[in-house]
Amino acid sequence: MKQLEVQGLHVHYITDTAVVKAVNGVSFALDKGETLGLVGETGAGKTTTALSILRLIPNPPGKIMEGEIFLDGSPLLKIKESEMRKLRGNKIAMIFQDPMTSLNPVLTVGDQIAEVIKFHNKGISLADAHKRAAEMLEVVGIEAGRMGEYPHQFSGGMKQRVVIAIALACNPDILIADEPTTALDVTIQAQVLSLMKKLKKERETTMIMITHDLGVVANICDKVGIMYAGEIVEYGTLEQVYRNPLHPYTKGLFASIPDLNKEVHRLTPIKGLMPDPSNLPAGCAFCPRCPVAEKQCETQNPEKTEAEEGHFVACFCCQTKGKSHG
Amino acid sequence: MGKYIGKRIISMIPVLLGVSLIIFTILSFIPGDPARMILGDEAEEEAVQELRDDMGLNDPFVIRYVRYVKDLLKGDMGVSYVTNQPVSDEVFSRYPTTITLATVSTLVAVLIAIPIGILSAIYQNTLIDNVSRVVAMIGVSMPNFWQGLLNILVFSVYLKWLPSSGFSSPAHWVLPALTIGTSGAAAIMRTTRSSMLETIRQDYIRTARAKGASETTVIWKHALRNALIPVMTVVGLRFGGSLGGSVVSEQVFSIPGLGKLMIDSINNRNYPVILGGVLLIAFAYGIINLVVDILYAFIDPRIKSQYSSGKKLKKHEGKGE
Repeated sequence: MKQLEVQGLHVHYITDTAVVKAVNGVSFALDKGETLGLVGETGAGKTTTALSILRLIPNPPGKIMEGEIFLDGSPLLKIKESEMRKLRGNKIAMIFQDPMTSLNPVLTVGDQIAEVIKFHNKGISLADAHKRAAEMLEVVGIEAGRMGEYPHQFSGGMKQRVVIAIALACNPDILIADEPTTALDVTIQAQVLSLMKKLKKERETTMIMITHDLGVVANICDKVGIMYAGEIVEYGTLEQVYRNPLHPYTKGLFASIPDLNKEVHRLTPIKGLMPDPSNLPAGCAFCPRCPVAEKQCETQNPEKTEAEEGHFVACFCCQTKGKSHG
Repeated sequence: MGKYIGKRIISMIPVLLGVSLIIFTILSFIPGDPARMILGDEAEEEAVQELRDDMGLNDPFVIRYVRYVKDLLKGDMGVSYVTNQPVSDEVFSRYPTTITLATVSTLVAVLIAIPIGILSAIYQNTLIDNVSRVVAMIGVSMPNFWQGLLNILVFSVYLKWLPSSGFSSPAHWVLPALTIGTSGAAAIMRTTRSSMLETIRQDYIRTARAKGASETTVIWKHALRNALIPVMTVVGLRFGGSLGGSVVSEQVFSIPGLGKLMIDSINNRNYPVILGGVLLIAFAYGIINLVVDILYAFIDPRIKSQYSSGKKLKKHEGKGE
């Protein structure tokens, strides 16, 4: 049994004027201890996918339209809210994107860490909860003496560590990290990443790493899902996707990374913009920007096909290839 | 913190001097003669002039003002033209009534407004929210005197539950406090709602939910304290305002408060009482503002750290906000 399984997830944000189709049929499955990197542009639906797993999509306007999410085989979208609360922060935890706004400014960091410990350890004394919170701070490299300080007394990188400490406080089975390094400078980025790698090794935490930094993915992930306009267009192991990118969008992403060994005057971006998620094209969402698009791409959305074992691509180019192979 | 409070109190001295100068100037320009008021319309012009000399009203403006300030610094606010009692006695004997009325009515406003404000934020655009919006609209639009009269009509005349005038027992407080309180509640309610709405969309609220916090914890522990800051500003302003006496309501309910005293004094050109009253109101307003500012610090640690490290943070203030 997979530890976490997402099947055919569709999430829409419904407003008076438009229906924003943020996530359109995302599926993936993770074994214990695996790390999945979700890569894509801003607005590709990465964060929405993550929030769906925690059932924290702001409703209204957000709504999970279709799909199933299984944690150790039990359907997360069907259990009661009170059951879900017991899982949040305990079995599934999330590191949020912006450390500057993710901490409550009027509570001490110690209280904020101790709170999650108290929620999920019934009957634990206040003193014990604070003791464990202090240990958590030490784990992320902040002296325990700063427990009583408020978020505004910390730098951005340290706040991010506090956010990480909160997420890790109850030893979650699944950790969702939403761009944990985006708001940080490179030195701190490296520290945070090595911290997360260490935790992954020591605690065998299953992780979903949301990022648009392909370097971060290469550093830490086992599997990669490339997201575009609410769909995973390419999915496979790190090796498969990085050695043999098949989807034209993935190829475009890699092509846009400048080669350090060559003299590059201009970067090669993917031309155009991501389609408006409230007005997606009828066929393949990437079709308008795709260099190899054909007639059928305009009207039909390609099914995901398995190009090699465990390597899925949603593009007609691979379907024909796959057939000829088979 | 102590240093900050001291600084704020000292800074009130120039404010009070400024207030006294403005009021003193205005009073010396408005038509009407206190001496004529005291002696009556039939008095001889000579007698009036003589009384004016006695009262020092014929001295030049600057001399009169300096004399007033000198006396004021000694704690002497002068003598009421009408009763010949020291102004301080007159004003301070009325003040407890006004303070009680202001406190009770602000309390009523807060007790009505904050829970409803929170509810209508949590249940945004539902029946609760819409009903509270309409009620708030009515509350703001209804003039105080009319609402007061309606209250008297219903609760005193028809139902005979509560006394209609005076201020001698808590039963007397109910109607005026309700009248002033409900009109104040509307503004506080709307501020609470919008502030709460803004707060519950913050990232740290999502963080709290992601920890597994129940809705009650999210609202009371995480959101409310953050949402309260703008609410406190509004409450403080209302309270400060009603400390100046609720002129209209005091008239409707025949409450012997500061507002009524001020109106009477203005009609009688009773300069020392007007001056004394305005100074007291200005002082009370300043104190309330100070209290609100100090309360901010207790709610928000970011503000507290600004107070305690005075010089360093003054530089930051411009950038930080």
